[in-house]
Amino acid sequence: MRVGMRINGQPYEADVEPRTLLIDFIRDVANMKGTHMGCGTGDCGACTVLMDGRPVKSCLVLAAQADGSDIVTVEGLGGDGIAGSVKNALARSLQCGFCAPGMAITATWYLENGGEPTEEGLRNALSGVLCRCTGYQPIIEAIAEEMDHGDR
Amino acid sequence: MLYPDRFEYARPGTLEEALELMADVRDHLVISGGTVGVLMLKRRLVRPELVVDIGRLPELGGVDAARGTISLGSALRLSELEGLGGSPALSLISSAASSVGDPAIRTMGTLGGNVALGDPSNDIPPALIALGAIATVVGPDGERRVGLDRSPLGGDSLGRIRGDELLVRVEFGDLPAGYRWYYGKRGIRHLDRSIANVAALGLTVDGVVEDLRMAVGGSACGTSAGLRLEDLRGARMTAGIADEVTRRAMSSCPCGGYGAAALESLVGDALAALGGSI
Repeated sequence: MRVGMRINGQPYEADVEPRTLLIDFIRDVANMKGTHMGCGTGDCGACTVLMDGRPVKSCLVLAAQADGSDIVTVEGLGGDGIAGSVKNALARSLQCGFCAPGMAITATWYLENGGEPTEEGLRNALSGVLCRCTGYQPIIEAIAEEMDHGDR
Repeated sequence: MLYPDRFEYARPGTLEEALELMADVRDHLVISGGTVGVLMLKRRLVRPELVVDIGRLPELGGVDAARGTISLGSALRLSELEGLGGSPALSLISSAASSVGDPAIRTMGTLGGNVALGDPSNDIPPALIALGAIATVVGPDGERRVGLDRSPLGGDSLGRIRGDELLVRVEFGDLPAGYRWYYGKRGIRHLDRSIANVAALGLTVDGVVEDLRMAVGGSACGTSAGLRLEDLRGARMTAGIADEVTRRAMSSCPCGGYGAAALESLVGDALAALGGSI
């Protein structure tokens, strides 16, 4: 079937099987490898992208479901403003970085939609993105610090 | 690697078209948000011939409040329900919705999926049972209304919604500002499935129960169920009433061990939230 969507502002269209997942469309059709496949069951959140402005786990979305949608991946986050602050925070708080795309997308979405950079707010917002390295505390503290010092 | 078997995909533009597709292809799977359906496909627990995506049907959206009745479309995202409020009934729905999974799961998952799938650990069904909601389902034989005052819509043993039917909306009466509400769940983590959950609404005047409604559920209970508490109206909200409500809750749920302890503690929390002084 023919599926088309905009990814980070660029149009992509391809003939795919109906069973094709959104994450595979992003990684293999658009050739954007920043979105990571982790658990494949919607638990780890590494594959989180924005679909029409809302975070979705792209391993649990069929590419066909996203037909006609606007997708934003970690590559589409800007380097300034809130996204820049989140990226700076992650750059100095993550260890292996596998969860980075999910953390970056979810934290930016939360903060850009009026979420407060408090420990409770950030922990709740990022509860669907698993990190197996840091214990979360360095990530939460770094984002809160960057938001205190950076552009809001 | 988890990957679905092959299937055909359709995204009907109208409710009528969706029902025709479902009638034409008996071996189908309906998805909306996809948080459960796509995972079932990936695990190959289901291998349907056709996947019918109803996530964008205009007939299934929207919040409508008129003449004291609130109507919620089944394609509303859980994150949209989370944003509701302003009355005890909507606050209860909001609280239950915010208890589901994590933010991304809530922006994907829908009211219809949470209600119609029949998973006893789901969060919305107890809230709807406590509210005495009415579900409107539509199928090849037309539209019908199903009361949710005692038991949920979904569930294999109940069969209250058939495989060729779709949940269109749920409706319930709004409640005046004096009502208190409570939703709580116990799981391994906050974002996990409920081992036990409780939804409750109550109105007390000078310590006397004017109205008290409660539904319990969770994986330990096996289903969601509304408690019969009408006979407690007019009683004083005392420790004795709390013991009686707890006894009825425990008798409606065949759980033991941790499940029973979790349910008992939730009922206590609910009564404290409703009555204030217990």
